[in-house]
Amino acid sequence: MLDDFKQALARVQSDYGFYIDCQANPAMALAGYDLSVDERSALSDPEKLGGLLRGGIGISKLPSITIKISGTHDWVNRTRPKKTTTNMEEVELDSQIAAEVAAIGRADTSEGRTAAAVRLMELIG
Amino acid sequence: MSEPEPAVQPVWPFDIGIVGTGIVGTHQLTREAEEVIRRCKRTFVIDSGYGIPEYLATLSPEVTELGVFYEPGQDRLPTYRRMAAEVVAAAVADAPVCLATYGHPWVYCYPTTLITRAASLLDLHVEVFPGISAFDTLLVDLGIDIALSGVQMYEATDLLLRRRPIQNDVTCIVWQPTVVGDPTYRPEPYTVDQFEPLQEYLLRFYPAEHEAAIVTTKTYPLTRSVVQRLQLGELAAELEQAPQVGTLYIPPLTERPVEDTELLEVMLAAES
Repeated sequence: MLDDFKQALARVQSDYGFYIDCQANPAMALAGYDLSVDERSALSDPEKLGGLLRGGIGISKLPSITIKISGTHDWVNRTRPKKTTTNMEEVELDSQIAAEVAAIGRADTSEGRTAAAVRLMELIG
Repeated sequence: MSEPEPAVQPVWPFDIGIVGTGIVGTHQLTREAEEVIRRCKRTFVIDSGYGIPEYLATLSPEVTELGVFYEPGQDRLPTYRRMAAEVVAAAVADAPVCLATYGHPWVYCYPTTLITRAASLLDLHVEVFPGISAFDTLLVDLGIDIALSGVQMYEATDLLLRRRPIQNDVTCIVWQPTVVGDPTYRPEPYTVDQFEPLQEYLLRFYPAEHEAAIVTTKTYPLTRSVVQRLQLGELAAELEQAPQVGTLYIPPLTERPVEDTELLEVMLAAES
């Protein structure tokens, strides 16, 4: 039954008419799905469905995290007071950045390119 | 004879297109975002919403989920760097590629910043396309228009870090109050102590009985957003009970009086 529930949830995302029917005439919209009583009622009860989705019911391959600013931390302003850097430090940083840019261009494997790109990100942000 | 170089670089072609997927599932994906995804060779996605990667797979020949790089209890900065590195490395190898990110790419989305910085060093052309942001959906959830008193918005931790001044005659929106002071991804709930510094700080600007609301915006089409009213003096206790998502909305405490009466007369005269 869970598979049919997942299919119905996914169809809501891709079929706007089905989304409307789930609200206007859920019995008809969901007639072709093999759903438990709870699953059927959740699809026409926003509060119940919200609870199910928040709690995680094995419907996602990903950890049940919500990536958004109204959810768990996705952003924090890490800007610190500017410290004075010497010309020497700036030259050294520029040189490291240039080396990683060259490494990205030179890499002949996806892994090597990504590793160099990660090192570049560590230098610039 | 070759075409002369345009003074301003056109949007297409680009090496990296960054699109926002909106807040409420695929229903808020814009036509422009869909076209970008369709025309890129590969799409990276940062969006754990149910059915989003599956839907994007109907548009893109190759979809890679970047959410797998999040690690419970770990600082998110290395995760963002890794996400950005994946996108940039793919663009160097075989452009154009797309990053599809939750909400709006320039609203609290650090990978956009990193990719843009790296692209300028690697001579890659990046284009960013707007999505429906959490701010947009918040206005709908609350049924408010920001025109009357204006709006100020702060991230909860940043508010405390910098002791940012709040104008209590202007609508105030505080993002991420449910995870204030924690830089990691943490699935377990917090205790009330986590939220007391935020409550204390806000009470410098508002009386304890001032009514506010925690808004939990829906992220799946068939669910509904929840607006939970509370008094600011109860904020810490309410946040302890709240789900780990939500935005704090604080309406204005007072109305700022008109200072420029001459301008007001001009404006009113035009109405008659």
